[in-house]
Amino acid sequence: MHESAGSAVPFRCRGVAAAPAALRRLRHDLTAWVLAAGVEQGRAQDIVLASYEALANVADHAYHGSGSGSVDLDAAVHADRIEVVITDHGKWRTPVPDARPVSLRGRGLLLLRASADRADISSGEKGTVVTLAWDLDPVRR
Amino acid sequence: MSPSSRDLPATELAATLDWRGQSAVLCVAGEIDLLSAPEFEEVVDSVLADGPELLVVDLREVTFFCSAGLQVLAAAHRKLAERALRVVSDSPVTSGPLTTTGLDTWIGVHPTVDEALRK
Repeated sequence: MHESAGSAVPFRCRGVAAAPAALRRLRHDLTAWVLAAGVEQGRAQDIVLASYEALANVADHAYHGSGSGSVDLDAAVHADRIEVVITDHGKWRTPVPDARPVSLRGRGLLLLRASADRADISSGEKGTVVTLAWDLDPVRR
Repeated sequence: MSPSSRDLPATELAATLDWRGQSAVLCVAGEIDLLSAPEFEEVVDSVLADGPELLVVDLREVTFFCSAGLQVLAAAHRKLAERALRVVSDSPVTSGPLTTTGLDTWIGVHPTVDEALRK
């Protein structure tokens, strides 16, 4: 076993209410886990931001009545990467485009994609799975 | 004691308002997420109701910022004259979301309040 990020115990949260207060607590817990895993501050902020944007989208469709209102989050350190998987049981809402130059909405997905090394969103009949990954610096492994 | 000081509708966030002539300097502290964004919007709207020529939003004490906060800033930008909304940030926590999404094209991001107030 390595003494660095590789030794972190996976983070697992099931059935969290897709509502503002619960999602803030989940973000705090994820932040603590990421930092305890030895992830550098700037990268930790990216991980937390991208994950939170995915959670916010779940809250958004729960609010609009197309989701189940609960979400699961799994985070784990693998040999070469940190992966965060956010699963909900509703339909992914594609943000409605706003043609005006400074639109009000639709920036969450942009932030999510920009903050992760890889972001995969797969939506099926049973729900939506967002898989976010960050490559680990080989020197630190 | 500032003669302009009055209660801002903030409980989740700490917010203070300071007038410099026709310019309002709103300083916000805390986490701006889904839970606090409605309150952030209420605070910003209450300042906009007083018709500032310039609104400077100081985000240096903000420890989390995401698309929910950007939405409030974008809405404020629309209610003000061109270039009249400015943000103070000295950390990627707050400047990152603004630059990543290109909002900084419309909303200037400055390291200090004095620089943000400069015309």
